Amino acid sequence: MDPRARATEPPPRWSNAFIAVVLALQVLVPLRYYVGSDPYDERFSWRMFSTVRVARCSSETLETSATGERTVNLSNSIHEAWIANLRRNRDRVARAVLRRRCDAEGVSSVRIHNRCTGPDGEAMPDMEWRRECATGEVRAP
Amino acid sequence: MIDRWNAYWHGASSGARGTLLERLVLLLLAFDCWLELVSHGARYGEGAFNVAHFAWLDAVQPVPTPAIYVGTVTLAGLLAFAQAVGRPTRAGMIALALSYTYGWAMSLLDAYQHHYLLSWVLLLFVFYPAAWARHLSAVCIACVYFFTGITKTDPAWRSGAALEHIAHDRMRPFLAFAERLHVPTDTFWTLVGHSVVVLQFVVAAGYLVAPRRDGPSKVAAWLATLAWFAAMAFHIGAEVLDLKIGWFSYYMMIAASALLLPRRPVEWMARHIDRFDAWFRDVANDAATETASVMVQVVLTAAVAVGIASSVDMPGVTAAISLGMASIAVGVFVAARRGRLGVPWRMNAAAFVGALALWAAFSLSETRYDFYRFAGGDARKRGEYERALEAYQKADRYAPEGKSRRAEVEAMKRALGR
Repeated sequence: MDPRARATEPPPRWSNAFIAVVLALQVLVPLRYYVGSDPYDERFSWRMFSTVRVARCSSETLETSATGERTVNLSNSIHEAWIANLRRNRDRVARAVLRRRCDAEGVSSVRIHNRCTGPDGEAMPDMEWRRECATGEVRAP
Repeated sequence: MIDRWNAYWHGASSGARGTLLERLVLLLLAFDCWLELVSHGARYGEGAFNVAHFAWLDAVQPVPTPAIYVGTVTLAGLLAFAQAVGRPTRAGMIALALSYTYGWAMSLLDAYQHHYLLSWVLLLFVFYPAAWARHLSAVCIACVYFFTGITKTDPAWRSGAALEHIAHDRMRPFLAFAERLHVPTDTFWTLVGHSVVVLQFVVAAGYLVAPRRDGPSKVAAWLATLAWFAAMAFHIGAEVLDLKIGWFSYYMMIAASALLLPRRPVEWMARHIDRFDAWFRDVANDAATETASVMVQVVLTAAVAVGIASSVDMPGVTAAISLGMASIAVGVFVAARRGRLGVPWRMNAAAFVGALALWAAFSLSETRYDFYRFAGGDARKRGEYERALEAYQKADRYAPEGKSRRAEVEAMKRALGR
């Protein structure tokens, strides 16, 4: 016999409430994507191989210091997989990268600029995150 | 209304479906953890950078390291295997659901959506064999297909452009076949694009009626069977097209077979599991006669398992196995105090077999080779040649024939001036 329960036992009283909560989550969590403001955060929404996911993006990180703006080679400091996350326009990753780059001495601002092409070959709107290091103010798409 | 609710969630359906789903998913999960997930562990914590799936997790956890990640998923694998073989327990299933969920939630480096689905499934396994938990599993899976179907109604999917974009080369034989039938290329892609949408909704409908599948409704039975064919076609197709979705297809083929097939083949398959359980129970009852001897066996098993873990030569594995064996020892102790010696003996034996399976999985696969060559490549890219050398040397030690990392080892030695 299964050590956890007898299959013939009557369902516990709380089971209906539990079912209702799980059902609500199964519907509401994916729906949150459709009413949310971040089309690139498809987690928990069952949007496997969506047109957003299959878009191809290039990402460039640029930081400004006293000598002007320069492109940063991120693969020297973080794993390539995070750069792939940036190319997927992951907002929280972009903000964390900006925060990290602002920690460097002499950097006044950092921006991440992404250019994407949809599966039909059409250019999608550019995405840009920018952080002012002194104030910590972030401008996101 | 209440009667309908009760009939749907608490009505009778074959318990064999739950047995089959639970045990096969656990077995697959164990090897998924050890063979698929662990090999990507070297990337965790590189550059002391991490973003978790949830902001609150970032606030409370340390930056995950390879040892934390590999240890967590190895532990999840051991818990899954031990329960697949030795029968699931509620405490074991809670521990598994937590460790597995933490395994993906700790970092956005793991963004596979089916890992999130598996966390739901494992949570529901805690309440198995209750019929309502089994039925809820089916409905959760229905939601996955339904929302995936909604996603695929996007014009780029319906026109076939998205599929052409991700799998054009592998679709070439099908395209050539369509051309032989004088089907224009555009029509072919549009047909395929639309058929993917239809498949998703058929499978979703099948899972929705799955809880009523064993009842008198012929419609439910036919729809579930149709959904089984659709699910198998879709997931076999995904594998043929090499869509890089981990082991998702295999989990979904197991789920479809357990929840959608007619009752008879499911019960036939589950009967083998029941027979194994009965045999294992008898062996355990015969072998476990005294508390003291069972406790000695637990200590010996733990020692052997930790020895095996050390020999695996992967970060975090020894700690994970020690923790797993300690948890099992606590479970054994509690069960023994209740005077049920057969149960702890079985748990202990299953954990021992689990440790051997873990060793076999790591020794006979390319997991360690992949882990260390990825680690070497990453370190090399960042100019950390000492670490790269160490990783490449291990990769070379575990390299399968024809995949030696000798050249990389020599290159790193030259870079270090040796």
